[in-house]
Amino acid sequence: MMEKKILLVEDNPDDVELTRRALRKNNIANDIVVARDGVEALDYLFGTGSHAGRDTRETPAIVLLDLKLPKIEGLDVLKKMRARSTPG
Amino acid sequence: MKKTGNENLSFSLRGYILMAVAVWTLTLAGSLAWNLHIEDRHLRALAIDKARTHIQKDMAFRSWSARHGGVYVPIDERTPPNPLLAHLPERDITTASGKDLTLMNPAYMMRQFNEESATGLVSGHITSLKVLRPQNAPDEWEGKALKAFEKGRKEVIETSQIDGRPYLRMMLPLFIEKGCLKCHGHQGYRVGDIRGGISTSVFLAPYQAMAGQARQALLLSHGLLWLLGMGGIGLAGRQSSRRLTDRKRWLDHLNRCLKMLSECNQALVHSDRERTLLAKVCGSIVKTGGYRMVWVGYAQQGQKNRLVPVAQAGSGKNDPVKPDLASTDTERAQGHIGTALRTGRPCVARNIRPAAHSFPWQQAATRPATQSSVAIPLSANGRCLGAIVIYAAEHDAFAAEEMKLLEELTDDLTFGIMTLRTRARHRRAEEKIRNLAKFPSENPNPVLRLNRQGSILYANPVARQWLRDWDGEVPPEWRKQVGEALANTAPMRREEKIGRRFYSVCLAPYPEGHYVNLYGIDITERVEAEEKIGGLNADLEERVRQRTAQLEAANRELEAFAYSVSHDLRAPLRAIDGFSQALLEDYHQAVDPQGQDYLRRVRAATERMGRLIDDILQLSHISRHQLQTEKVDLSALAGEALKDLLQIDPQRRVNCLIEEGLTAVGDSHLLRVVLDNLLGNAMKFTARKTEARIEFGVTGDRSERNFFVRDNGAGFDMAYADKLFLTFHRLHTAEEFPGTGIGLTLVQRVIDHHGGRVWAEGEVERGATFFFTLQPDSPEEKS
Repeated sequence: MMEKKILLVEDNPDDVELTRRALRKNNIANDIVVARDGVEALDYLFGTGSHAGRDTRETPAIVLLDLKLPKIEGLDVLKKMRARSTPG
Repeated sequence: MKKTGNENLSFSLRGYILMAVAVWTLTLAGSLAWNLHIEDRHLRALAIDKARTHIQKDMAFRSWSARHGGVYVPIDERTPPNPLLAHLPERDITTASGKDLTLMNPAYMMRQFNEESATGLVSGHITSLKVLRPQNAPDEWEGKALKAFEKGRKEVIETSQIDGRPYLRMMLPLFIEKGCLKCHGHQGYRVGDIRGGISTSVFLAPYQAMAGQARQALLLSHGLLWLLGMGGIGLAGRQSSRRLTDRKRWLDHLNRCLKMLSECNQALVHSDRERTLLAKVCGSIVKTGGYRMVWVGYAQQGQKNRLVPVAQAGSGKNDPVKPDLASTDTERAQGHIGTALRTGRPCVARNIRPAAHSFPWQQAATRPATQSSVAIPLSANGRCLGAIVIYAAEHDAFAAEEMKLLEELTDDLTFGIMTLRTRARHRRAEEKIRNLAKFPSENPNPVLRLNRQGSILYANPVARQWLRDWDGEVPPEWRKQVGEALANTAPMRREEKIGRRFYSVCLAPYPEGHYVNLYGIDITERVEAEEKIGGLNADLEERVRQRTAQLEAANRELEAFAYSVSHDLRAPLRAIDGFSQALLEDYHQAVDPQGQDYLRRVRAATERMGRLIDDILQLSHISRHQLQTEKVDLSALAGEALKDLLQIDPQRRVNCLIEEGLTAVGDSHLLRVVLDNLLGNAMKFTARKTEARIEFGVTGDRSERNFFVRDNGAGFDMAYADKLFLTFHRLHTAEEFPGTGIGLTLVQRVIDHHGGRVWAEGEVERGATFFFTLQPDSPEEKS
């Protein structure tokens, strides 16, 4: 797969479906990875937990991040992402 | 007393009359007695003279006879020869013609002579203690007289009764002559001896008859004279009595006046009130002075010629004193009262009687039995206090002496009034001083006066507690304060604890008096309250702090709640809207036109609900939002807001007028909300106008600037003006003009928050104007 993926961090399945439709309607065909909460999103990004062993060099083209999330809030997710990416 | 005086006077007059009667009677009686006496003596002298003449004739006859040694007379029956001369030779002789003669001795001759010449009126008798012829013996009276001769008496005269009839008897002695011895020589007489006496008796009855006539004449004349005198005395007495009565009456009157004056003076001394004095004086004038009526009037301030009666006496209930009696501004000025007031001199009105031309004052004065009147002004220090008006029952009362007394009385009365007024002024002043003097002692706060050395000059009862607290001596630090206060000459205030209590003490220095007054106020309760309040405040602050923390926590929770509500509510809305849109777009063929209409309605409803949620969130946000005030360019804010609004609807053609340079101090974020809403409304309600005009500007003056947003849109009915700002309240249906009913509530909330106010004016289809004010700010805002 040459095209980069899109990470959608969203706990509401309705929103997930509507997002998928909006992207489809706009002819964006990239794979969409859905994380249901902040922890899962970070696991995906950092190759930990349920996504352990994933090649973390393969970064998503875009992260659609909901702010209000179970477990870890969206803003915290963003902070951690920034913290990880800046030095690297 | 009055009566006694009268009696004295009449008594003395009666005395004089009685005395005159007595003197006259005595004089006439004396004269009568004298005249009678003189008459008596005269008659007696006549009788004596007659007797004497008779005797002297006898004596002369006898002497002649004796000198001749007797005479010879013819002897007849009546003249027989005297047997006692038998011893004489030639006792009987016979004349040559043969006539027989016998010698008659003098005594015999006298006897015969007397017997023959006896008339019954005068009779003579010659006798002796040693008679030769016993028939010639003396009677008792003659015997006593003869004996008196022997003792040297020359004559004996006496009135005596003989046979019960009055006689004047007189006897003279007979002395022995040479011829006597012829017959009596044998009895041993010598020449010069008293042989006997010749007595004579004059019958007094004729004399007495004469005397009786004379006495009658005298009595008659004297009686007439006496009666004449008595008549004169009577006339004089009656005249005197009348004069005396007049005089007495006059004196009585003057006496009464004097007594009245004296009573008035007593009243002066004893009255302590002006009214009492006036009443007493009036009473005295009527009761003691005997005047018909009297009243005293005071001149009115500023109305010199008007008297107000203040006291009166003698007037009955039916004739009350009329104050306008004395009014001098009309024809009454002619009256004596007016004259007295005008001239300042007493004025008498005599013979007041109801005349055809009488003046009103006369009518008024002509009460029953008032015939004359006097008005005497009461003047003191050249000022007319009023007048006293006295009425008398007589026509011509008020003579000079009386007037003098009345004027004196008036002077005294004036003096008394002035004295009482002065006394009253003094009393008031004293009262005031006494009252004022009580002030410090009645002060419930301590008052103390200290001299420069700190010695106590005065301490009121409350301040004595200080002295007890100070053990009777002013503490050194207070003395120091006193010194400082005197040096500064300015009052000082200190709060000190004295004893167990706290005082606020003001030290007020009086350098000229070299003392300081200390005025204390007990502030113990205040101090204690302050301490208590201090504690309470600390407590309160702690509680406020806790409560604030609780509130802050609650606010945070609320904010979080609101956020999550908005977020959580939005999510399903988004789903409803999103899937409705998906249905409309993706299943266009599957849904018939009515279904599509329903879906569109669903979407419209979700949109409205979304806006509602946004507005509610904003409203709650404003309520707990802390104002971030700064200088705000309202003109710029309005411009931005309009620009945003026009972007939403680029087709709209709106004539926008924004006044430049309007600034205010406020929260720019919130003020933007206000302008967004007001301008948004203006846009909304002008949507149907072809020539839409929206204005933002200001009216009013600098003290209150009224910002306004005006449009020429749909407007509203002023009847609903007060409902405009109610939450969820709308004047238009959502179909006419969409809206949540929260926008103006938001506006009001923000303006309230800024301390301003908001109101609206409008007219249906003629547009609306929304005014708002903000807190008046510093002048620089305009720059």
